[in-house]
Amino acid sequence: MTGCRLMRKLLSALIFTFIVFFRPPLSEAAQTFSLSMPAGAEVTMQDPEAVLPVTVTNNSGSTRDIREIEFNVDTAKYSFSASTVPPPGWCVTSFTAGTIIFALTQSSGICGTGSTSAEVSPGESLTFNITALPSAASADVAGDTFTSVRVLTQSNFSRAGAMPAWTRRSIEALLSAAPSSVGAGETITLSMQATNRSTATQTTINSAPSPPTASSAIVTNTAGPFFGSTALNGDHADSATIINVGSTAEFPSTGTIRVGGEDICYSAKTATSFSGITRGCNGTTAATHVSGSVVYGLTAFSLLPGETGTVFWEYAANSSGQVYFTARAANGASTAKSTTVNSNIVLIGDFTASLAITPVSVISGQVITVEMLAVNNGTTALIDIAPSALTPCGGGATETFVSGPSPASVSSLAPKGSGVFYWTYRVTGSIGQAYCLSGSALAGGPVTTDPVTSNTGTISQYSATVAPATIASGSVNETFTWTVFNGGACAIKEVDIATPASGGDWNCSSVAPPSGWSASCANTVRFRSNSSANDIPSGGSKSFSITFSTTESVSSDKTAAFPVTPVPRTGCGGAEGTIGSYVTVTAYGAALFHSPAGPIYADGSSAYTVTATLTSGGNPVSGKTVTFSTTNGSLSSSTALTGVNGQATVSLMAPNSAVDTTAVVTAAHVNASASDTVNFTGWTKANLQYWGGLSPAAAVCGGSYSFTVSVRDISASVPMSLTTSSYFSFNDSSAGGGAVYKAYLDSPVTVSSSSTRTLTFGSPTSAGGGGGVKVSSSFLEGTFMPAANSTPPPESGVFFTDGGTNDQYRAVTDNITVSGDCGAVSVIEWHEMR
Amino acid sequence: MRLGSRGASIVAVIIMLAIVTLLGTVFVALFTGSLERSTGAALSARALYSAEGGLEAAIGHLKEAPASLYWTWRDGYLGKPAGSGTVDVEVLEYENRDSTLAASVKCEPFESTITAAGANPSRTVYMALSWGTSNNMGLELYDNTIADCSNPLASANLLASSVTSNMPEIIRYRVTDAAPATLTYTARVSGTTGDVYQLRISHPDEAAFGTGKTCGQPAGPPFKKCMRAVISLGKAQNARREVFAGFSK
Repeated sequence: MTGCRLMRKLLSALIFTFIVFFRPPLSEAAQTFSLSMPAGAEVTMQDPEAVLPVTVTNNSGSTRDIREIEFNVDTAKYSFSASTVPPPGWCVTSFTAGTIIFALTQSSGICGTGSTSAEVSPGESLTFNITALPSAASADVAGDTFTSVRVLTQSNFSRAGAMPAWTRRSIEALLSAAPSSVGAGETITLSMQATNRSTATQTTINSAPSPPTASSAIVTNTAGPFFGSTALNGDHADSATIINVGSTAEFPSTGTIRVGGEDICYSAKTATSFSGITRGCNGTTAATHVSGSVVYGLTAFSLLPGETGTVFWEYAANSSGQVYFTARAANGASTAKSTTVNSNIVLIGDFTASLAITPVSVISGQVITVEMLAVNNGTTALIDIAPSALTPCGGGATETFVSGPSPASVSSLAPKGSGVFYWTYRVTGSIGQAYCLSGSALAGGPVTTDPVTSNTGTISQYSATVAPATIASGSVNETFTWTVFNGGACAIKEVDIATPASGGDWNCSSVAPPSGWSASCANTVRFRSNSSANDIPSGGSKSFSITFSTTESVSSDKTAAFPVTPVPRTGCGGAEGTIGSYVTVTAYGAALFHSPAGPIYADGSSAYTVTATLTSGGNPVSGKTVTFSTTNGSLSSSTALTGVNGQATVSLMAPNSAVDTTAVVTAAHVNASASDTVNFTGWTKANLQYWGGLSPAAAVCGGSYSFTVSVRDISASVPMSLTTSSYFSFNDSSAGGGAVYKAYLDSPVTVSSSSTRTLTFGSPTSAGGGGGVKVSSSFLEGTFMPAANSTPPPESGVFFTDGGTNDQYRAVTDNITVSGDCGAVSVIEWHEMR
Repeated sequence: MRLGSRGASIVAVIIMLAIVTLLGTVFVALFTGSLERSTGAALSARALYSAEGGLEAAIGHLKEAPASLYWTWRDGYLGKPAGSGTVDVEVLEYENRDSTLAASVKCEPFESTITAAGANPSRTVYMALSWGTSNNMGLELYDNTIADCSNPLASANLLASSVTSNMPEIIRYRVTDAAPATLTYTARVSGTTGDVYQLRISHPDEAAFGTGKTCGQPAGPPFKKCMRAVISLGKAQNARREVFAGFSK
C-alpha cells in the first residue's frame, strides 16, 4: 500500500516535471492579432488627409497585451503623415514615410511600452486612423495593403488572418447642393467638382450613378448632367447668331450648350463667344434670354492630371423635409472613380432653420459659437422672427449657456430672405465626449420651423484652429495664426507646427510667437516658452503666427497639412499629441466689397449692396453659385450666380440696434471664400417697422389703388405722429422701367411705442384725403418689392415723417405684382408713308 | 312697198341689236372696271390693316419687360403673317432734333450700327423736317460727320437731299454698307437764321442705344438714345401699304 502511494507520488512528480519542462510555451504559441478595415475602404490619390482606419484585434486566445505596434507601407504607394492622430492613450513613438510605430502614453507623458489602461488586452480591439499620402497612379488601384504589421510589445505576437486591403481612387470629388434651403416647388442645383488626381487623362467624366442618388424621395431630378457653366454676356434675341458669354474655357471647341430650355449647337468658339450656331437644336425652341442667364454645357469633358471640372444637375423640391445627395465621380470606362461622397443637407420648406456649431473640436471649458440660420422660402414676408431656446442633444458633454441669441429677433424677412442668430456656450466634459444643440425658429403668426439639431463636436485633449483656413492660389506674404487650446492637465511649453515640407512653394519669412515665447523659421517651426510662467496653462490657449512670403500656385484646389504638436512641460505627466490642421489653397480667388461705404443705420431697413467677385487665374468666373452668409442683419438671398464679370450681388438689410454694431459678411464658392465687415450706426429714434399686411398684393396697371400696411413702432419709448406727407411707393426699375407709384398717407396717425397700427396710403398729394392713386399704364409688368430708398428718386418703400424729428425710410418686405396691358408707350408720330 | 317695209324692219332690228350689243359691251366694261377698282381698294385696305397690325405687334414686343431685352429689340419681322396679308417690320432708333437755326445751316450728326442679326435687320434712315415759318427750308443727308457745316462736301459725301418748296422735307435712304458696321451720318438743315424747325431722324440703333424712360440729352454728342420708331410694310397680294410710328416710353 505504501509502495503504491509512493509509486503514485513518483508518477505525479514525473507528470508534473514533464508538464513543467516539456509543455509547449503557451504564451509563445497563442499570441495572435488580427487586422481589419471597413468593407470598401478607399482613399484618394494625393489626398494629404487620407486616413487608413485599421482596426487591431488582440485575439481572445492571447495571454499578453498589445502595447506597441508597427505599421509598414510601400513608400512607392504611400507616405505616412505626421498628422496621424493616435488613439486616446496612445502616441507615435517613431515615424518615417514608410513606417509608423504607436506605443502607450505613459503616466510620465513619454511614449513607452509600460502597461497602461489603453493597451489592447486579449479579446479587445482598437482602431488606428493612420494618415497617409497616397501616391498617384494612372487609374484606380484595388488591393492596396500594408507591407507588414508587427506587434513589438509585448513580444511573440503573430498576425492571424489576412492583411486588410483598400482601394486607391483616381478622382477627388466634392458634391455641393445649393441653395441649402428652398421652398417646395423650387429648384436645387447640385454640382460635383471633380479633380483628376491620377497621372493619366480621364475622359467622359460623369457621376456614378448619374444623376446622384437623393437620400429622400422628396426631390426628383429634372435636368442634367451638364458639363461646365458660364453666364450670358448681354441679352440675346431668339435670332442671335453669336452667343456671347463670360468664358468658354470650360467648354469643348464644338458641342452643345443649354440656356433656359433651349439647346444651342455650336461649331466654333472664341474665348468669350460661341459661333456657327444652330438655335433650338435637339428639338428645342429658340427663345430670348436675358443677360446673366446661366449657360450649361451638354458635352462631357476630359480632365488632364490635376485638372478640375464641374458637373451639374437640377432637382425639383417636391415637398418639405431634408435631403442630401450621394455619388462618385467616374470616367466613362469606370476605371477611375472617386470615393463615395455626400453633399450638404438641403432643407425644404416655407420656413426653415439650420444650426451649426464651431469649432467642432474643443478642450473642456472652451466656449463655442452656435449659429442659427432662418430662411423664408415662402411668398410673403415673415414678421418678428425669433429663435427658440436651445437644448442639449445628449452627446455626453455639458453645454452651458453663456450669451445669446444675438439679435434677439429680426423684425421681418422678405421672401427668400435669411436672418441669423448667434449664441455662445461653454462646453465641459471628458475627452471624447460629444456636444451639440437643438432648437427651432419662430415667426409671428405663429409659424415654426421643424426642430433642427446642430453638427456634433468632440472634447479633445488639445485643439487647434488655423486662420485663414483658405487662401487663393499663389498668395504671397500670407500670415496664418494657429490658436492652440490646452485641455490637458499639464502646461504646454512648446508648440511645433510642421509646414509643407515639399511639393510646394511655402517659404516662411517670419514668425510671431506669443509674449514670452520664441521661435524661428524652419520646416517645423518650434515655438518654445521661455519660462514655465509663460506656458499655456491647463484650460488656456495661445496664438502662434507664421508668415509665408510665398505659398503654392495650384490649378485645382489643394489641401496643405500643418500638423500641430503641443509638448507638455516635463515632469507633469502630460503627453504629446499631434493635431491635424489644414489650409486649402483654392484655384478660385474671391473678393467681397460693399456699397455704400457706410456706416448705415441699424434700422432694420437700410441696406448694403454686397458684391462678391470670383476669379480664377485673375480672370472672372461666371455662371457659378456663390453662397452668402452674415453675422448680423438679413440677406436678400443666401445664394447668387456670378455674371460675366464674375460678380454676384445680394443685399444685406441692417439689423435693428440702438447701439453701433457690425456684421461680417462671407461669400463662398466651393473652397474659396472672402469676408467683409460692414458697420451700422445705432438707431435711437422712433422705429417703425413693416409688420405685414400689405394689401392689395396685386395691381393692374392703369388702375387706381390705396394700399394698406401694418407697422409697429419697435421703440420702447418713442412714439411717432405721422403727417400726411408720409408716403408709400414702389417702382419698376428692377424691370428696366422708370415708372413710380407713390401714394400719401390718407390722414395723420400716431403710432405709440411698442404698438401696431394699420395705415392707408391712397392720397395723390400730401394733403391727404385718400381716393386712390393710379398705377401708371407705363408701369412694366412684374413683381416688385418696395425696398427702402433713402435717396430718392426713384421713390421706394415707406417714408414716415412727423415733420422731421423721427423721419425714416423703411422697407416693405412683401411683393406687389403688377399685371395688365402695361408698359404703355407715348406715340409721338404715327402716319402712313407715301 | 312690202319689200321696202320688210327691209326697213330688218335694218331697224339690226340697228337695235347693234345698240343692245353696244350697251352690253359698255355695261360689261363699266362693271369690270368697277370690280377691279373695288378689288384693288380691298386689297389695299388689307395691306394697311396688316401694316398697322405689324406696327402694333412690334410695339407690343418692344414694351415687354425686361426693357433691357425688349426695348432694345431690333430684329424686326419679315413676312410675318398679319391679318389676311403679311408684314415686314423694321425697328429703328428715333431721335427728336427739334431746334432753331442759329445760322443759315445746322448739322446734326448721328450714329448707326448695322448688323446682320434678326429677321429684318434695320437699314433705313428716315428723316422728316417741318417748320412753322413761311421761309422755305431744306434737308440733306451726308455720310460722315461734317467739320464745317457751311462746306459739307469738304468732309463728307452727299447721300440724299430734299430741297423743295414743299413741307415737310423728307429723306428716305437705305444703308447699303456690309454688316457689321458702325456708321456716322449728318443731317444738314438749311434755311434762314432764326427758323424754328422740327427734325425727326429714324435710323438703325446707335451703339449706345439705351433703355431710359426720359430721352434727355445725354452727355457727349447730341445723340438721343432711348426712343423707338417702327416702319411696317403691309402686303396683300400685290397691294402695299406702309405705316410709320415714332414713340417713347
